[in-house]
Amino acid sequence: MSDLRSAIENAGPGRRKWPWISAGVAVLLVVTGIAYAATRGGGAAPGAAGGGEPVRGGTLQFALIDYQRSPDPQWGTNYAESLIGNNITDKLTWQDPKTGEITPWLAESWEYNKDLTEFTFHLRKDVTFSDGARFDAAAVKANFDQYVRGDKALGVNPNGATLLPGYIETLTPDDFTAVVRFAKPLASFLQASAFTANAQPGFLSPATLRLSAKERTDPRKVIGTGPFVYESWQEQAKTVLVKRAGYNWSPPALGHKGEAYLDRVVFNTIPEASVRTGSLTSGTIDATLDVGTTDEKPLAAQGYKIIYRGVSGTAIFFNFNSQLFPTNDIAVRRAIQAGWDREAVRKTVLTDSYSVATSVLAPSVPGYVDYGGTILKFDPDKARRILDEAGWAPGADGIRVKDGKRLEVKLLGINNLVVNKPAYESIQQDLKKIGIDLQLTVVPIPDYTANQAKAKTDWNITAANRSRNDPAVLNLQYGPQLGNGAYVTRDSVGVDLDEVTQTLGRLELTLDPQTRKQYAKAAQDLLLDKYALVNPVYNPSQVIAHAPSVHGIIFDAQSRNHFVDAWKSNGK
Amino acid sequence: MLRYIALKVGRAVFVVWAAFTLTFVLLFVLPADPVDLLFDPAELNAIPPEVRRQVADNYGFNQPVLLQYLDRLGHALRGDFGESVQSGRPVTAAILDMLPSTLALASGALVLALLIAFAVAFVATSTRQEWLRNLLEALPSGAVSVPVFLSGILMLQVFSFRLGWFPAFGDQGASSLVLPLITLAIPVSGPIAQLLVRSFATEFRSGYVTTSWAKGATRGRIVAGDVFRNASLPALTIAGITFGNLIAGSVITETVFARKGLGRMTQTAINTLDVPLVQGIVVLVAVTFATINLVVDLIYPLLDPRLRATLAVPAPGPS
Amino acid sequence: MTIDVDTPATPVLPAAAGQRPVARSPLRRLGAAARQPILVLSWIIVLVVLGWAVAPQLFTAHGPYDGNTAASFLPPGTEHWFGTDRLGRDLFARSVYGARTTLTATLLAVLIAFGIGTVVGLVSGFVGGIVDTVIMRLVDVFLAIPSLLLAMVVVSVLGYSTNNIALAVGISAIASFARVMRAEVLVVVHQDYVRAAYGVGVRRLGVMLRHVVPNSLGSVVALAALEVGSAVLAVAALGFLGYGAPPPQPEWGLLVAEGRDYVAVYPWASIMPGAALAIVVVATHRISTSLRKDRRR
Repeated sequence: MSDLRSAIENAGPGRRKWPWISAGVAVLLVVTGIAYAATRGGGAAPGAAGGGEPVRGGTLQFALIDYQRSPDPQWGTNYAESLIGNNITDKLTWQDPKTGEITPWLAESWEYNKDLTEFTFHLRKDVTFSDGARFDAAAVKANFDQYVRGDKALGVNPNGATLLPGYIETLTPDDFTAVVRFAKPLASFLQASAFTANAQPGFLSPATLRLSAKERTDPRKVIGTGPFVYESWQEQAKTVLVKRAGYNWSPPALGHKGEAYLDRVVFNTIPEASVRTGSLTSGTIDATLDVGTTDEKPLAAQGYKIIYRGVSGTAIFFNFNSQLFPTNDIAVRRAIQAGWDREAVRKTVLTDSYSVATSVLAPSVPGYVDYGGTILKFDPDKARRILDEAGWAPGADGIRVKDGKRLEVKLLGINNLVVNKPAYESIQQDLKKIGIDLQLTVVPIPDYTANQAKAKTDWNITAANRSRNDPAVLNLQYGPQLGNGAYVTRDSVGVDLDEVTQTLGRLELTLDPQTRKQYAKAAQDLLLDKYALVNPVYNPSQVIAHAPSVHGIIFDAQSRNHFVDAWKSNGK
Repeated sequence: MLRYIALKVGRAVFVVWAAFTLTFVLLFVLPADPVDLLFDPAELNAIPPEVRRQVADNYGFNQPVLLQYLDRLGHALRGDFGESVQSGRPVTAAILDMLPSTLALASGALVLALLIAFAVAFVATSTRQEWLRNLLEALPSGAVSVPVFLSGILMLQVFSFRLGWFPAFGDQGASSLVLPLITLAIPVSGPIAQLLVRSFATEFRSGYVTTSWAKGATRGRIVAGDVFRNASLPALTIAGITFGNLIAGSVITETVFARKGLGRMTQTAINTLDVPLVQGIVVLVAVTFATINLVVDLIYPLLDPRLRATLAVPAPGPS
Repeated sequence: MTIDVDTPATPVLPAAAGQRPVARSPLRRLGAAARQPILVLSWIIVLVVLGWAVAPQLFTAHGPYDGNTAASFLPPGTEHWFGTDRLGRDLFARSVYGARTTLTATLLAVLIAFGIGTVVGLVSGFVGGIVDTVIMRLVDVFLAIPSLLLAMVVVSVLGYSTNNIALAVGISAIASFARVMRAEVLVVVHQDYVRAAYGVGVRRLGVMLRHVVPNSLGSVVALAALEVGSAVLAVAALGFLGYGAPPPQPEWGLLVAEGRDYVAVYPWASIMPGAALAIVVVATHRISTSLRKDRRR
């Protein structure tokens, strides 16, 4: 009897647990249900928009996917580093994001010699670093010297060596004149002086340049001339910038006078796309970069503003290995160019902020030519015909065969952009229909770099993009002496090495806009049409969604953001 | 007893050294070159060899591997793991920066997981309802059946974005810790509850329990008194596994909830082949792990009289 | 109530503990099963999923790779039970075809972990001495290194394929299995019935096979049942971190991982495969529990 009673007593806690468990199950169901309902629900309307006069003050809470690993803007290979670097340092020149024209910034004017080996900059005289030091020709020289050569004693890498190849020295004929000299013509240097992407030439105070790499990890010691200065830096979590008092030298092209409007900008790192979007709609943050492609439409419908700019430079490209079977056959390369449905990629994978590539250059790069109606047009019949004529006959499994070898094309790509994998899969589906077996290996960056080292012998296609808003990017990427993206050598069948070298190399020899345009067209004709060395896929974009109360976030020519002109309606 | 302790401490030191060495080997087995990872991937073909050499020089990557190893080991012995390749920060400072938030997350989740596991095992053993027992025995597998990132993201959707109860990211105060704790504790509690349910049941049928029955103890007292104590031993045994689960889970939890922490740092460090940073983290993890084991080793005999008896004979206790 | 060291703990012998008559007719088994609807359901689920793995084309009319531009992100319905993904591929078909990849990978991972781990733990615990010391230190070292590092090294070195990912997951779980097995063995070898077996002249190998192995396996089998779930999830976690199977191959963990980015807008893309995954894991586990109970009886 007592046994029975005790059993009942002991069953008690179990019973009391039961509602708890059912509650757990219920919560799970609710979670699913509500998450589902979130798609239908209109969501709370964000704060009312207010245009008109800029309001001073306030903190902008900004979110992005990457985190800044080092506060040193001259160092760094990710987007967060260049984005933040742009707001604490200034450059010699400002490239107009619309026209690509180089306009004054810290340099009021400039001239160059005929050979394009000597560039003379006349500097503004009223610029100071935030530690009070004067910005002058000596500062320019100290920066460029260390930027290109590094400093072993300080542990500083030669961060700028790839941007400024052939840099010899900077001369300082007077306090506010800097002459930058190169060993060979470098037309792209003028654009490089405005470069705002990774490892950028933003000017640091001479005091900062004397610090070791280790000491520069203290953000308060990293001093620039920019509209903001570091307040704090929490690795992995956030970087906080406050406005620089007395700043008055933003690029004249921006039409902004004086200090930044915002008191403070907080860059929050949020790795997950759904969390960035949710934080925006719940009002925790004011703006977010790296908006998930499927979130754009719902956000816009809820009244959030979507702003974007295509990444300048090349499109996401499939670079063909012109040496390796089967992409050493121009017929295969042409068939791939014509064999995939642009419309399908646009409809299922891309949003209005992105675009299907119509050339190897992005449309914003000076000298861009549209091939959307000719070479880069979906034409499966043409693709089949090209392959038929080249002797590729359909095999038993639908994949074409020639001389007993299947038409297998191996692609190496990076999975850093969410759009890449589905876009490549879409192309894979289309190519299968015309008898090409595109095999995808889309991996994280370290594995990409490891495999890239063997690309010449192992991969038919490498897929990536390069951010540089200057047509000379084609030379950097495909010049046989430089990037040699298509692995053109004397052994490449049907490709004239010297012709490629010369046609691309000419882009560094002139800064005359008309001549450069011709050269750029010739280069694109050669890469896309004559030798079909590349299949451009889509133009990646930097997309920001922000509350309607946020105004004036600027995209520069490299699609990085500047906050000097940004403000919030409520000034909070 | 002193000899026993010395032996265990010696082993702990060995484990840390071996983890250090093995990590070093693993990082060199990886096909990527850490120097390449300091550049934009699209630029790789265009990096002049002298630049590459200079960068490698900067970090000592071009020295013979053995020399690099000895150099790092020598420094590590003095507590100096060098500077992170990617950020230039001293490794020790970087790790110490991350340690508090990861510790809070991991230890909180562990406590919560233990509570869940013991509650499940306790109720499952003491209840007489077959259906309830079956249901409870299914819970551990349910706990490990949903990917951590999915449960985390779904919880965020509801409790942060819809209801606004908890902040969605960062680590400001206790409220931002609630969701990550639950997310991490659920999968960690699974294996513990699993083992506990089983050993509770086993112990429940043991002879001494029968004795207690005979002496007129109630079911609840038996579970709470005898079974609980003896069945807890296996739970200590899987401390190691739990530890691993905590580390693996924290990588994902920290990513989903955008918390700073060692898990995310480990992932980034491995992804960028940041050798000094990886080594620093591994040594920290190994030291923690070895310490936990040492403690378990030392209290194990105190908990299990059967083992205490065998200790007199020089047989190795479970480690 | 505390235990007295002198009170010998009664050994839990699977054979001896049974109070029921041994043989049960298949019919009675069936009858017993009918009283456990959840167990029956679990069997059905597992059998169906095995069917998916063996002959996926019997279960769905859609192909796993057939994209349809017009059908991007359709919600679940009669035509597409799980909805469609971004490229308009049927998610149910992808789940069905993904069963083979996922199950193979899981089994491989569990076999590696269970097989190697159990043997290592058994040898270590049973042989003892220097062998035990060496093995256990190695196991400790493996436990002390983040399994993520091990997994990433294996995948990076051997290449991206589901089997290599399974191998990575399996290898990083060996140490836990070895540890649990050894702990069990140690408890068993000190039991009186083992000593008694030695006493009546049974050889070491005999003792190991007849007494130690069966009595130690319990916890390890339980762990293995859980590992089925953990392995699926570990594969999913690697997919989450960017180390997934190569596209366009469908794989459950990867389906969930890739669908998570759309969770606010198209929740089914991750929830449907996620729910399928969870149900299968729970069902497998329910079956493994029932098997163990049967054996105990």
